Amino acid sequence: MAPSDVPVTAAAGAAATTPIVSELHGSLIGELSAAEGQLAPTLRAVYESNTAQAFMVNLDSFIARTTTEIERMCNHHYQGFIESVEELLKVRADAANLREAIARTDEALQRSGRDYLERAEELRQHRIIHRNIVAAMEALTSCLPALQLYGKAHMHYAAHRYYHALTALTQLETRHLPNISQYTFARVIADGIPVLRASIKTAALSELQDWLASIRQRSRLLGSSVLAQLTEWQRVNGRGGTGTDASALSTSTSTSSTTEMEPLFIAARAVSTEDLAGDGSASSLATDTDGSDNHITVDFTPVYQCMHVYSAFQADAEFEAYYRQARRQQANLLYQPLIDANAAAVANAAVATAVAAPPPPARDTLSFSNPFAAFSSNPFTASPSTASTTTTSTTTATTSSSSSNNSNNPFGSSSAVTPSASLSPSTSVSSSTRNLSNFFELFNEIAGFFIVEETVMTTTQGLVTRGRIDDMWEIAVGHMAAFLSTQSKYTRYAPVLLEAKNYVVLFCHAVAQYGYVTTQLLATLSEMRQRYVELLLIDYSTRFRNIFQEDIYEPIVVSDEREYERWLVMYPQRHGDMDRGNFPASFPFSASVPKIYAEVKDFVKAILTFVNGLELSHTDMDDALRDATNAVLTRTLADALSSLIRQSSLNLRQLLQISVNATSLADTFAQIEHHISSIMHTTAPSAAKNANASAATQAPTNPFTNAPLAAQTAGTGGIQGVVVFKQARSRAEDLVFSMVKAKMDDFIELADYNWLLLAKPTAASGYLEDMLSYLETMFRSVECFPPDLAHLTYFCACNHLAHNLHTFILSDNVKRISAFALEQFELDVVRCESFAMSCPVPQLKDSFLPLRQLVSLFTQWDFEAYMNDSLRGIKYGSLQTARVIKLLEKSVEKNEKNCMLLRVSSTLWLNGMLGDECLLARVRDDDSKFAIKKSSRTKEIDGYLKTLRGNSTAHSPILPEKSS
Amino acid sequence: MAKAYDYLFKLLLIGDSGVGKTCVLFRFSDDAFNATFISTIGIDFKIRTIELDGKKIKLQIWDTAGQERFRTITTAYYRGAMGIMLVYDVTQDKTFENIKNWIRNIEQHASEDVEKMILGNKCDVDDKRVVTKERGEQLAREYNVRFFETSAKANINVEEAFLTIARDIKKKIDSKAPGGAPKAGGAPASSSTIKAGAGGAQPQKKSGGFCSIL
Repeated sequence: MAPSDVPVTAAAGAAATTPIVSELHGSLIGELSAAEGQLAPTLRAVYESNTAQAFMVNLDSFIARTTTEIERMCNHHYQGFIESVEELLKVRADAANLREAIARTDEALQRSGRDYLERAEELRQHRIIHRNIVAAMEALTSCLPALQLYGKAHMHYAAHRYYHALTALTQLETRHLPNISQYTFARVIADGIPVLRASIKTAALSELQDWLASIRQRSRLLGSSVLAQLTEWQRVNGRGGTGTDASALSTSTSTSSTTEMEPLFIAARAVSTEDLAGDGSASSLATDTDGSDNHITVDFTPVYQCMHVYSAFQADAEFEAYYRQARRQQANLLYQPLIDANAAAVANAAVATAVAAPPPPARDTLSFSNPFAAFSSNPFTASPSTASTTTTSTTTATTSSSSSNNSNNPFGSSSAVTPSASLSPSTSVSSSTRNLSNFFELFNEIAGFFIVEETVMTTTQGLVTRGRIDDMWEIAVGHMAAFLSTQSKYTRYAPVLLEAKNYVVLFCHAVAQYGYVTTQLLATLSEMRQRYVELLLIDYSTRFRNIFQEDIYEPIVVSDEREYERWLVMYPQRHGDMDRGNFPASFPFSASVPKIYAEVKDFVKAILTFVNGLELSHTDMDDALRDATNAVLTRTLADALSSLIRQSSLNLRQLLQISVNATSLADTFAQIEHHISSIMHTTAPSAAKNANASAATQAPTNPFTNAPLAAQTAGTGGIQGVVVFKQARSRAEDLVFSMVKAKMDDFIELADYNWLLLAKPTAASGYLEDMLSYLETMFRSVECFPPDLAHLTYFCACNHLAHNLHTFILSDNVKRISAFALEQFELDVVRCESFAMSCPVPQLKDSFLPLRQLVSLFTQWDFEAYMNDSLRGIKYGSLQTARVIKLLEKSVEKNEKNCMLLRVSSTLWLNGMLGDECLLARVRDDDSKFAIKKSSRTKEIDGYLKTLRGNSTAHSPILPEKSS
Repeated sequence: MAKAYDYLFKLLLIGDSGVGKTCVLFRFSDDAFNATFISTIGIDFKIRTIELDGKKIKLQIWDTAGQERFRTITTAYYRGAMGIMLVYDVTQDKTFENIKNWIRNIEQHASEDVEKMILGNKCDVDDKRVVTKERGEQLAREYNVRFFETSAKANINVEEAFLTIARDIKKKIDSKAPGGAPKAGGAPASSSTIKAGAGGAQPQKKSGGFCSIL
């Protein structure tokens, strides 16, 4: 409406001026009302034309016209307008209602719509989630195998299954990771694989090292277990222990050993590389002693694993070199204690010889113990430190060894020390046996070592070769053999050797099953056997001496049948009286005899125990037994016997008993021979028969044969004990004789002949009476005097007496002999003769025959008969001319007067105290008789002397004669 | 004939079995000791020469078996003995009690003037001793004989006992010998023994012949 207002005014203004101008104004006003806003140009046009008044008028006219028009219009439309307003008012109410309704509807709609919207939003979200999930699942499906594999690899790694871990890694790398390379984790995994690989390699190696360390201990257990198993098997099969029938079992061994011992082989063979492909734990070497109580399992997994791991790395050669070197070093460590012990033994022996006195047994055990202390404190100890610390305490040995460990052991030190910990407590026990058993443990370890090696050889390809094993074995055997021979050389205990021998035999059997050659080791047994015999001989020497020392040398008295039986068991010599049931009775021998017999039997048994199991031929066994038995008899027992007999403290009765004992032993030693034969026969009925025949042929084939000894006794094959006892007996008897003689000499020393006796003697000399009654007493009181020996002793005594009587009367110190002195001497001879007659020995009197003839010749002055050649042979056959000459010389009395005076005076002096006038008278009487004969007698004597001297020089010019 | 001795004395050791007669003798004759018990069979003797007052004296000591079964053998030797040593064991009361029986034996069989002496042997064994020294001395006083406690093992008083009895015998002989005679120096021992042995003035018997006249 406003635009219409403006043109109206413009038109009104223009109309007021001029028509033309009005016209122009009209158009302008038209323009003004028509065009809104074009006020400015219009106005400018107006003012330019200076018609503003006109225009104003036109414009006012226009306005007026327009106003009239508007009023007419308004009048015209007023009614309609009112009606419209009214209408509008009505519509307004409706509109309000409508608006209300709409508002309500809108509200309802809004309400229901919001819920929907929420749902819709939810749905949208779910849709999104769903899409995401699907995407994620897809991604996961592609990644999961890789991750799983990776995890598996880690798991294997953690479970020490390194080869599995490695294969898993390889799979992961080649198959799975390329597909999922877009993921970061895949890259991380890919980056981690080489690290893991490296650590697998290290872990496998360190596990191998652990195994190498542990196998040392296991080896010992394995070795001892195998040996124990063998022992058990032998025990079950009746071998070992008693084992007198070696032949029977040698056949059974060969057949059943293959079957019986099979499981062990199988157990070992069952280990293979294939096990690794399985669950990996099956590769084990198991020995099973005595059911399943003592189960030793050696797990080889680390070796195979490491081998495979290294082959996966294409580092087989490296592994092989490493393994071999490690094992060789271990082997060297094994021998070291042996070498050290040998060195120590030699050094000790050197010290002992330097001291030049046999060291006491305690020292011996020491020499044994030291190297062991070092050895068992740490078996890993390397050589230089062990050698130097053998004499130091265990603790220092341990510390020094642990330090040397690090340097010497390339496998890492931590595991190496562990085996020592369990062993060290036992080292304080230092008996010889204990020590040797320590060495057996070492041998066990060696056995275990080689069993392990052999298993490794058979279960792997080329890791261990037969050649290498054999080389190592050769070295080991060399060391062991050297050790055994050295130790046996220096051992002073036979039981130790026996134990060693049993062990070595067992050891050889055990390792032979694994294909090792034991010849060299078995050869040392022969050396050990010789030493064993030597030691036994020493041992038995003291035993014999002790027995001899303990014996009181009185016959054994047996009081009843049962006791007799007991003795018979000990000593197989029957006794007539006891067999008839006469008790109590006594054996002729004393207690030492059965004991000696038992000891010799024991000795044979001991030798047999040693020889048994050496797999000697029966000839060799027989020879060994006989040689040793002969040695014990001819050397040891003979020495003991002779040293017994040499003892000065023995009295006559003891000597006699010893002689009786020797006789008895000599008799019974056939039994020992029989004993040995019976042993040999039970072992080899057939072989023993032609033992001697086959000895020559068999001997060279057997490594145990001691050739010289075998040759020596093969022919004779006898026991030489009898000779020994006979010698002992004759020595004892000689001593008996000399003892009797010594006693007689004691009496003879007391003899006190007065060769110028002037009184008539009435009885035999006192010393002689004493002596003879002593002899009588002695012969009477010694019950154990064997009759034949008694006879000999009688003869010996009488001869000795006769000899001494001769010595008395023929002594150069005796210048002259009076008639009474001769008479006294004759009384003594008579006494001797009567003694000889009283003895229960025929012809004993003959001992005094020369003496009798000599005395008779002079007392009866029977020289006529003596000078008669025919009569002399009959009456004086036993008389030596020299003796006659000597006595004749003593009979020459040159100064008869002086002699006479001397006699009288001495007689006077002698009997003066008693004042025996009768005696004196008698002397005078005798002397006067003597004097009458005298002058003729002297000439006679001179004549006889001349003749006899002539004869004796002619007959026996050697005879030493003293001419007056 | 040069004489090796001036006197010969015969001594006799008697006493129960196991009292140590042989050991005492062995100690005296050989100065040794042997612990093992070896019973004497019958009779044995040892000779040892000693010197007293410049004289060489041979002691022939007879060692008898203590066991009953040898009694007849051993009593035969009493006669010739000039000195008898009765030995008991201080650790065995029985052996001490038996000394009286042994003395009775001596009275029956030996010569009257035989020199006697009681020895309590094994005096070194203190812990097992049952016979006190006083009892021994008491007994010796009763019989008016000398007494010694000896130990053959520990060598206690053995030498002294023998020397003492030898000295006593010598004193007895010397006192019986004619006054001036002992100074004669060259006096033969045989004469002494004759006197000692024949002192009892008994006729010589063949069996008991320890004493003889030469």
